[in-house]
Amino acid sequence: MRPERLLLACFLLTGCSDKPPTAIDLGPGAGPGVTPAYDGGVAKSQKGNLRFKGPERLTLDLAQALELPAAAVCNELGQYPCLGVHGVSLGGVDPYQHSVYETAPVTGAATPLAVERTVLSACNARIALDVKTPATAVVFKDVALTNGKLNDAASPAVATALTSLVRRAWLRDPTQEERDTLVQLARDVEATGTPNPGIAWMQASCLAVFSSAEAVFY
Amino acid sequence: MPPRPVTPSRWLVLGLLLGVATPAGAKPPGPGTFCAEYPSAPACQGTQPACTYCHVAPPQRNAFGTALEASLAPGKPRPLSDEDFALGLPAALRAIANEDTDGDKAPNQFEIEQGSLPGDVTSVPPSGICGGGENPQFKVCQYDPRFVYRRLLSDFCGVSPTYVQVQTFLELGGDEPKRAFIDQELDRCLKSDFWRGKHGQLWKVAHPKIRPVGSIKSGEDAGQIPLADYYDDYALFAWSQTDDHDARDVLTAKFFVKRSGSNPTTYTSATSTSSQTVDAAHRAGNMTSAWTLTAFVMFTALPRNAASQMYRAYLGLDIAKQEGLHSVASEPRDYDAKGVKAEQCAACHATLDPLSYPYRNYNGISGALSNRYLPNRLELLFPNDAATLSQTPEKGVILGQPVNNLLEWAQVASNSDAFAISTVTDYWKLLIGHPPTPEENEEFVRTWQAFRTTHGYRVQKMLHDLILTEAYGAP
Repeated sequence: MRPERLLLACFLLTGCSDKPPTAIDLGPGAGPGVTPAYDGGVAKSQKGNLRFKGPERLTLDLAQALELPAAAVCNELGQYPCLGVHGVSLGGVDPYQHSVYETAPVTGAATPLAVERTVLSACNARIALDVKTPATAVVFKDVALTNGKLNDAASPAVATALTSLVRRAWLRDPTQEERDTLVQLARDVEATGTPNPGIAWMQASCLAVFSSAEAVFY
Repeated sequence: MPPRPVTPSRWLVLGLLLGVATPAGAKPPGPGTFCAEYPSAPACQGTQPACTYCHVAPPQRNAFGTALEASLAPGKPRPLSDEDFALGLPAALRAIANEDTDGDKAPNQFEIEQGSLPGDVTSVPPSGICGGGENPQFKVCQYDPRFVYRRLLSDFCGVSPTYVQVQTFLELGGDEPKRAFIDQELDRCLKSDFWRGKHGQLWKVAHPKIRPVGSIKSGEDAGQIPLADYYDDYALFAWSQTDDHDARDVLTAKFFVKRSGSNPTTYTSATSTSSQTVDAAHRAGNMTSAWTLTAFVMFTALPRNAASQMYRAYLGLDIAKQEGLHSVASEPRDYDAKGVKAEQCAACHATLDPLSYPYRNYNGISGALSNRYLPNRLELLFPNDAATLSQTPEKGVILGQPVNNLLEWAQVASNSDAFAISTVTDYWKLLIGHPPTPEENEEFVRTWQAFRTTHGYRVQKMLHDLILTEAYGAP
């Protein structure tokens, strides 16, 4: 994960206008007329100095955003905090036992896996609470399920839940395009034939938003 | 290139590596000559060029060093004398001023003046170009209070603001109230456990300095073979970096610091603690802590490792990287008969050995005498070592200044530019994510100079400056 690429990805997410970009880089082999630069229509930083949140900030942000105790965000085998198990992979240090005194200057090969594992665990914890006790639901409030399926992906409750999710992760409102994409995700998940597609959509949308570059870098 | 204070003797190494056979004690006036030639160069603002200016890894020269060597006193027989080296250097620098030795399309002189490295193709002068267009989320290329607010809370409190907090912040109106609010938030977060608590961010800054080893820790969270408690070192470090305390205390304190509580964690000074055994008259902060003596002196007669670690940790000068070399005439004397007079060793040991002598009476590990100041330690505990060992003086030299003992060593070190630069660099790396770049150099120099003067070595005040820099606040 090179910072400049992630910066670009971040700006694509943060700065997307409601209008689709006029030209998109389709990559090598694309037909003529394709502009080989996609900037999302926003001014780009000359610094590209995004910083990875690392284990502590990632955990604390997930805990705050999903209204979970920090200890409940992610535990391997239900008992070993991911903060410790994946600490170095997540850009942390391990000074006392393994003499890792400084964070690595770049993220490692296992970092995306550790991020996704941590985020998915936190998402699952939140979703379980929201579904089990709808009266005190925090994110997926009033999202009705029947036989594990979303009653209506286009309902205001779904839109509200998605706005809530994005605000919690990105500290801003979603664009229409972003919200439409996450609504479409519900239909795509259901089309796979997975059991409980409503829950699977909640997991997928939460994971997509909270593991995005905009959520894991700052 | 992170600005590093270097010394004339660093140019001794340069001279040697350029093929100039210079006696170990010589001091070619290279840095002064370079900085006289380029007085406004960022590399000369409170610092002097590092080895990497001319070398990839000594003795291998980079493109700039190679070009410089070719232009240095052409026709003069090698090895050059110190005088010829010094006389030839300005002309050599001028001769290659308009060349682009590293092939990055920026001439050497321009790179030197702009603060990038003329021997590194990946180091280029700041473009000064800012992208056009609009960005609804970030003020790219300029100080962005919203960006700072978000980053500051993550950096110092450990958690991003909420959506509602961001909206409330934006409703503050103009930049002035926003900046005032940011200052308030910084003060609030500096009291958080994420910042100052056990295993918090300040402890993270301290890890490479203290280099803990859990298996030999004593006291709280003791390991299998408890020898010394490094939590005392973390406590003094954290104390020196917080509230209205003087950062230099980390090297000079005659007191100890105890940590207590959580949310908030408090650090209080104490005149004694059972885990520390060096008498009050010989204490010099973390330089003489039980952990430093255990881990870095250990069983050694002449504790070069302790001296070099303090030099690296608190002054940012890594002798292993040929930084901070200040050769002392007639050194190394090789009192412990380790063969350090050999030419390949002497270049560093002419600095390192006199740096280490003040540690001669500080004992590491040896039963009941562990971690204490013992007059005549070498005579008492190393009677069968080299016959000349007992001649090792307690007087030494640091940064070219003679000192009588380790307490004076600590005073010279903590009052040096190198200490201020190293302290601010620690936070620059922590909060901005990298050592100062050429385009950040001006702000960096301003920050460490204010830390040293206006702010009287108060880290908290320095951090208020740091978050106002474009390096921190422009996305």
